[in-house]
Amino acid sequence: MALISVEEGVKRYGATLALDGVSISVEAGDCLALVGGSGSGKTTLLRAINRLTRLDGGRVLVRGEPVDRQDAVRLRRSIGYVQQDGGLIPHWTCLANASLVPSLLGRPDASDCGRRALGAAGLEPGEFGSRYPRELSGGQQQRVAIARAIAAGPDILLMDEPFGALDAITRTEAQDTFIGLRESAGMTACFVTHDMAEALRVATHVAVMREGRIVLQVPAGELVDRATGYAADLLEKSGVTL
Amino acid sequence: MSGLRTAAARGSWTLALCTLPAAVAPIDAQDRDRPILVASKPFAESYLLAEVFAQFLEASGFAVERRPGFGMTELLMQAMIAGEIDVYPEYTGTGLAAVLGETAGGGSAAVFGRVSEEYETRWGMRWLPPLGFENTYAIAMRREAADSLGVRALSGLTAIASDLVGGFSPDFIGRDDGLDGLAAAYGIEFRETRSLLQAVKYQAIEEGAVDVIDAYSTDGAISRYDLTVLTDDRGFFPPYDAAPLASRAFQEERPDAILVLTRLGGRIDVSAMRRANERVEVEGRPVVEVAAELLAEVGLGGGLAEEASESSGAAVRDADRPVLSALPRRMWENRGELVRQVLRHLILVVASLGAAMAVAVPTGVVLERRRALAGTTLRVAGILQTIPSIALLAFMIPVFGIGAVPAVVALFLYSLLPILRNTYTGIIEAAPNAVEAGRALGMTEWQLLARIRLPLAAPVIMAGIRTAAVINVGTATLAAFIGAGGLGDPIVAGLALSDPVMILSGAVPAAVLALLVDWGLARAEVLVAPKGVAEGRR
Repeated sequence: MALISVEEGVKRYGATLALDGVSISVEAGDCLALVGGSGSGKTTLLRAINRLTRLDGGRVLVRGEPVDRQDAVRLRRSIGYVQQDGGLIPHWTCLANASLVPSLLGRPDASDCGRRALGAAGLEPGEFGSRYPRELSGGQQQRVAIARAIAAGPDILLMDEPFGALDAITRTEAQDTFIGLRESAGMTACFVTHDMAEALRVATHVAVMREGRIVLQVPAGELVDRATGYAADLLEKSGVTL
Repeated sequence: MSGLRTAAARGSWTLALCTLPAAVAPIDAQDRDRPILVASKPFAESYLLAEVFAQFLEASGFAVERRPGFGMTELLMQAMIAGEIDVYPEYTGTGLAAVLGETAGGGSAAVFGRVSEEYETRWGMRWLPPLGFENTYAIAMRREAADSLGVRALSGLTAIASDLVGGFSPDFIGRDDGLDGLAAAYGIEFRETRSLLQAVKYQAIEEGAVDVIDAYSTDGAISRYDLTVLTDDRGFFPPYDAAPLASRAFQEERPDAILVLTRLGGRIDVSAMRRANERVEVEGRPVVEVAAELLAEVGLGGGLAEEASESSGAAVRDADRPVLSALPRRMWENRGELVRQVLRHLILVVASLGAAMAVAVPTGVVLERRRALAGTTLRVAGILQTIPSIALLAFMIPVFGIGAVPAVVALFLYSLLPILRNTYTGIIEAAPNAVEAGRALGMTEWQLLARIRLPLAAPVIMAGIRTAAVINVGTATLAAFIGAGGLGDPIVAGLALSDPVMILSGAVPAAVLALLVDWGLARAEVLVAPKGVAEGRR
C-alpha cells in the first residue's frame, strides 16, 4: 500500500505555478528522492506531505487518508522531518532537541527515546547530550537533527536537502548512517536533493522534477538506463557516468 | 525569563496603583475641604507672590497646595479653564496683550477694568484687587554701554540697533506686545536676536554676549548687574499691575478664601517687591522665608516669618560659594525632600514603563503574526516618539489635567516604540530555522512562541525596555512643568530662580538615576539571555 501519495497536486505562488499537476506515490518501506534544480517545486511538494504547504488543487494522502482531514499538529508529530540547516533549537541541549517529539507527545520516556535516537544517529548520548548545538560541528548537528526526526519512532521520514551543507566526507558518513537507520527501522522516506549521485546512493526510487512537473519517476536501479533529456543532463552534472 | 518580565510588569503596576492616588492631588469640585491650588509662573517674583498667597491663606486656616513654576501664561490659562488650579499671580498688561490680544489704552485703572470685564465674560475668572505695584517690561543695557552710546530711552535705540544683539526671554519674543510690537513702535531692528531663559540672561549681558535684554522693572538683578533701564518714551508697554487671578470654580466654592486674598490688595508697593526679589535673586535666600518676611513687612505677617526662617534657616544659599562644594551640602540638607523626589520620579518611570511593557510586548508578538500591520504600527509609535517631550506633556493637559497622570501617559507613549520595535524584531529574528523545524515536527504556534521565540528574543526585548527606561528617567524631569513632581522640581525652580546649585540638585540625581537604571537593566539583559546561544553570557 502507498503510505504517501500526491494526486494532481497544484500550488501557485502569485503568478508562478510551483506545482503543475504532480502525482507521486511512495510504497511502505521505499525511499523516494525528489531531484531537480532550484525552483523545480521539489521542496514545495515535500512540504505538502506534512501540510506545511497547503495545495491549491489535487490532494495529498498519508496512510491512505487525505491530510486536509487530519489534524496538522498530530500529523506532523507522526512524521519525522529534517531540514538542510538542521534547525536545531539553539538554547536547548542536544538531548532536549532529540527528545522534542516524544516530549510533545507526552511520553514519560521522552529522554530515553532521545538518548536512543542520538546513539542510532552515531552520537554518544553521554558525550553529546548535554552540549548545546553551537558546540557541535555541522555534521554532528545534522546527526542531532536526524536523531530528533526519528526519536518518536515515526514510520515516515521527510528530509529537505539533509546532507546538502556538509563537506564530501562528512556527507558520505551521514548518508551511510541514514541508509542503515532507515533499513533497520523499515521507515518510508521521501527526501529532496539536487544531487543525482546522492539520490542513486540513498534512494530506492527517484522522481526528477522540472518547472513544477515530474519528468521521470523510476526505481533507482532503472534510472541510468531510462534517463533521457533533462534527467540525463542532471545525471551528467552530478558526475554519474552513463 | 518570560516569568521574570511579567513579574516585573506586575510589580510595577501594583506599585503604581498603590501610590498614584496618594501622589495625585484629589481634584473634586464638590469637595469643600480640598486644598486650594496656588500656582505661579516660573520666575522669582511669581514664585514669591504665589508663596505670599499660600502663606496668607494658610494663616487664615485654609489648606493650600502649591504648584510653583507651573508654566507660562498659556499653560496657566488652560489649567485655570480646566479647573486644575485655583489662583495665581498675573499682570494686567499680560492679560490685556498676551491673552486678549488688545493694545494698551488708558492707564492702570482702564486696563484693570478691561481685563476684569473680558475674563469674567469669557471664562468666569476674576481679577482680585491689584497688589499695589507694577512690574512692567524694562529694556535694559549695560550701564557703561548705554553711557558710551549715549542712549537713555528706547527711541535712542532706533538708529543704533543694527549694531546690537538682543537677548530676550522666549515669552517676550513670541508676543505681539513683546519684541514684535516694540520693534514696530520704535522702528528697532537688532542685528541678531537670541532666545534666552531668565536663568542665563543676566550672565549673558554681563559677559557681553548680548547688548540688550528684556527685564522686569521690579527685578532685583538690575542693580546687581549694573544695568540701565531705557525709558519707554513712547508709552509702548501697557501697565502691568500684579493681581491674584481667581478661577470660576474657586470663586463659586470658596468665597471665604477670595475674601482673604482681597485683603492683599494695595498692600505691596514696588519698593517692598523689589527688595523681596533681591533677597531671592541676588542673595539666594529661600522663597518661603522671603515671602514670610514680605508679609510681615506689609503688616500682614503674624509670626510666620520667624517660623519660616527657623525651619529653613539652614538652607540659606551662600551665593559666593562655588557650585560644586555647595551642591553636596544643599543635597544633604534637603535629603528628606530629595528622597521624596527620587521616589516620586521612580513612580513616574516605573508606572509608565510597566504600562508600556504590558501593551508593547503583546503587541509586538501579535505584529509578527500580522506583518502587514507592523509597518503602520511602528510608524505611528515612531511619530509619537518624534513629538517634543514638552509639547507632548502640554497636549496631555486638556485631556488628563495636570499632575502625575498626564505625565505617566506621556512617558508611556514615549516608551512604546523602543519596546515594540525590539519585541517585533526580536521575535522575527529568533532562530527562524529552529522555529520552522519546530513547526514541522508538530509544535503548536503557542509552543513555538513560549519555548523558542520569547526566550530567544528576551535579551532583545530587555534592551528595548532598557532604552525606554533611560529615556523615561530623563524625560520625567520635564514632567515637573505640568506639576507631576519628581527630580524636575528643583530643576524648574532653579532655572526660574537662576540658582545653579538648585538646578544641579535635581539634575545630578536624575543623571545618577539614569546611569543606575541603565546598569541594572544591562544586568537584567544578561540574566534573561538563554543558555547556549552566545559565548560569555551567563
